[in-house]
Amino acid sequence: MIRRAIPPIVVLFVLGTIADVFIGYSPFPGYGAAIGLFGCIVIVVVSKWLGTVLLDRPEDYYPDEVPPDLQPDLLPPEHPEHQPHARRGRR
Amino acid sequence: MSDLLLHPTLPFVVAALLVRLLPHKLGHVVMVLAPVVAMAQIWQLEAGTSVQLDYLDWQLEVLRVDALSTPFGVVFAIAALIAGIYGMATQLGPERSAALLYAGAAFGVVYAGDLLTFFLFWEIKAIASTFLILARRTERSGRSGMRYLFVHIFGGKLLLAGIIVHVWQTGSLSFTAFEPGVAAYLIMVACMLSAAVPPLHAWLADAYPEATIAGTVFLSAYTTKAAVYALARGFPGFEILIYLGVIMALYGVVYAVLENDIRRLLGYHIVSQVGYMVAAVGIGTELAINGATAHAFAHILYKGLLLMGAGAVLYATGRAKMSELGGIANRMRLVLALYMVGAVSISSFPLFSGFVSKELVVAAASGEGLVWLVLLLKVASVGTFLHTGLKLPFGTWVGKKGLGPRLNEKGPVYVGAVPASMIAAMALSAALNFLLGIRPQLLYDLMPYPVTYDVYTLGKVVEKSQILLFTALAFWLLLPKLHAKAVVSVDTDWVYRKLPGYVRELWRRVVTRTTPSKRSTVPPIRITTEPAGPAEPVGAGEPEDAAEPLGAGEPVGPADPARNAAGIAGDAATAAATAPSTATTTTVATSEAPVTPRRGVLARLFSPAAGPPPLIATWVLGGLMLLGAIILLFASLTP
Repeated sequence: MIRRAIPPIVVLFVLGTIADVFIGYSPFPGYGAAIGLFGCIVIVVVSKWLGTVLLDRPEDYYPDEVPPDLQPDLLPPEHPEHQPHARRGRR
Repeated sequence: MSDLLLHPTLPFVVAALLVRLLPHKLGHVVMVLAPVVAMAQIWQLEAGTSVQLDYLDWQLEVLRVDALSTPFGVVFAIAALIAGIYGMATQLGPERSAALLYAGAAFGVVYAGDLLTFFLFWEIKAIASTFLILARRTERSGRSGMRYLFVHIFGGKLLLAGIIVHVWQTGSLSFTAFEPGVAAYLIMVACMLSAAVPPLHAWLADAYPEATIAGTVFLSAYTTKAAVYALARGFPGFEILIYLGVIMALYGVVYAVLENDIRRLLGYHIVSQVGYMVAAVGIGTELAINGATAHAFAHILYKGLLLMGAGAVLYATGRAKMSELGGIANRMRLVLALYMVGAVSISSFPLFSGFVSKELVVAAASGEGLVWLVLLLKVASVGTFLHTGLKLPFGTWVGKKGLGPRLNEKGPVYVGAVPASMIAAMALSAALNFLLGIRPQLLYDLMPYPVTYDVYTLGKVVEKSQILLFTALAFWLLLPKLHAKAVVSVDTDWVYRKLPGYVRELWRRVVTRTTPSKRSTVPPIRITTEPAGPAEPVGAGEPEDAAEPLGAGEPVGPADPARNAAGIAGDAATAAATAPSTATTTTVATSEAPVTPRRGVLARLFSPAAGPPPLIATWVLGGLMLLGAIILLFASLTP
């Protein structure tokens, strides 16, 4: 799969770079490609690192508010998993 | 004065009453008519219209129409129309009433010419929007909604304090660009809170995913954008907003990588996108204010579309976590296609609305020579495409399960039908996004300053295409790292969600240490018939405890009630320690916690673990506070 995708990507990259040379809008040829590729990698790596060292917690971190897998109160009545408001009229 | 009848808030207030009085089916008509009437009124109002009213010693300007308020008014009306159509299948009378009042108050905010009117509508907006969250009527939405209200009321009080200082210093109530000073900064912080500028942003990601399906669509349109309007009106060129804006743009992107809930992920992208607008306001040139306004306009359209797509998934499957979804693409093709229109718009693909608005902001930044800002905004837009354009649709509709079966019998997730009204609203929004993309002049003609900017030059299109193509390539390479994990990420709402518990715990320990005699005299009581475990104290004195599942069909956590119960053991121990012994001592079977005698009314008022205080105490306390307020009022009126 990856091997088949390499030729079109290389072709598009070369075409884009040549276009950059002639148009002269970007600071250097291939500027957009560099931002796209490295920006994306930096965002993912930095965020994942921040998540691991600082931000990620188990789902029951706020014990009263574990995010539910299913939110049945939002389903229409004809849906097989529908449940009306679980706590309606409790107080 | 007759122009006051053209105030766009009026049809919404009338409609908010009508949807409660008329039968449900006629409510559909009201939901469509109110924004259409408002749109007609905006059409009639010419720039420069001003309606003044005398109130006490002040002259209020309840309606001021100018080039900055008109584009916001127009897009607010469009948003109300789209969200109203979207909500036809799910919204009942009370929720509709709140939504219309909320939208109407947002019009009041952008058409207010003086600070008092501005403040009043600002507060009505905050309160009405809370009911869109509370309308969900679950315990989670209740907690989340009250936190939302708490944060916004706090912001409203900051705004009021700023206004009072401003009037005291200048003697003027008119809402124009502020001079730097205490008053300006107070008002700015209030607006920043409402615009979700970190660290005051956590209410957004906390509350929006807990609202009703259509409620989230309404919420995404008004609160942050009205705040952007207020910033653009009062604080153009305040340099600090540039830095805060770019921090916002990247902050939202970082959290979106970690997020699992699709509506919360889109919430963090609101933070990111509003960052562009805030940065543009900070630049403050004519081009930048145009950029902020245009981006707010386009953002309301495409973010509404994205949240409608997420809402349709929630309506059809009942699931919002990417770790639970996937394998439904073949059963929701139309929704996926319409969502992707929103996704390519927010990612600023050429020919869609995000491109023509975001490029204005970037052009304003490069026009001022802020090279670093241009670079960081472009990186943030990479993150936008990565999450809303690639990660979210992939994780929601495809995931590890592939495209999934075409019929429900074979699929692991049952996909219900999506009503035609939802599809229609999404299609309308998608059409508008495409229209603005191919006819940017329609958007530019609405802007506060004349736009002479040509967005479709070859250089910009080639660069943007490269960015998008190579972001997609990087996503593909990093795909194994990007599968959603079932975690929550701590954010600044930790300060009011977790810290009070720690403080309470610390307080309890300090108090217990100062009275060691109690601990030694009261031996620990244990039940012999039940095994001693950390989960025992559950239900001792706190019936509200969410350790009990919210219902049979709403499992708490990943099938691990024991771990969950252990998680709250700390709280429960506190509860057992402070609770009055309503239960008999044998059932309060716990550890070393001393059995406290029945406490006084006042003590129970301040100890939530003891359950709600008696009604009479609440009334007495409220009455005393009201009395104090009246006395203060009279004291302030006497010369």
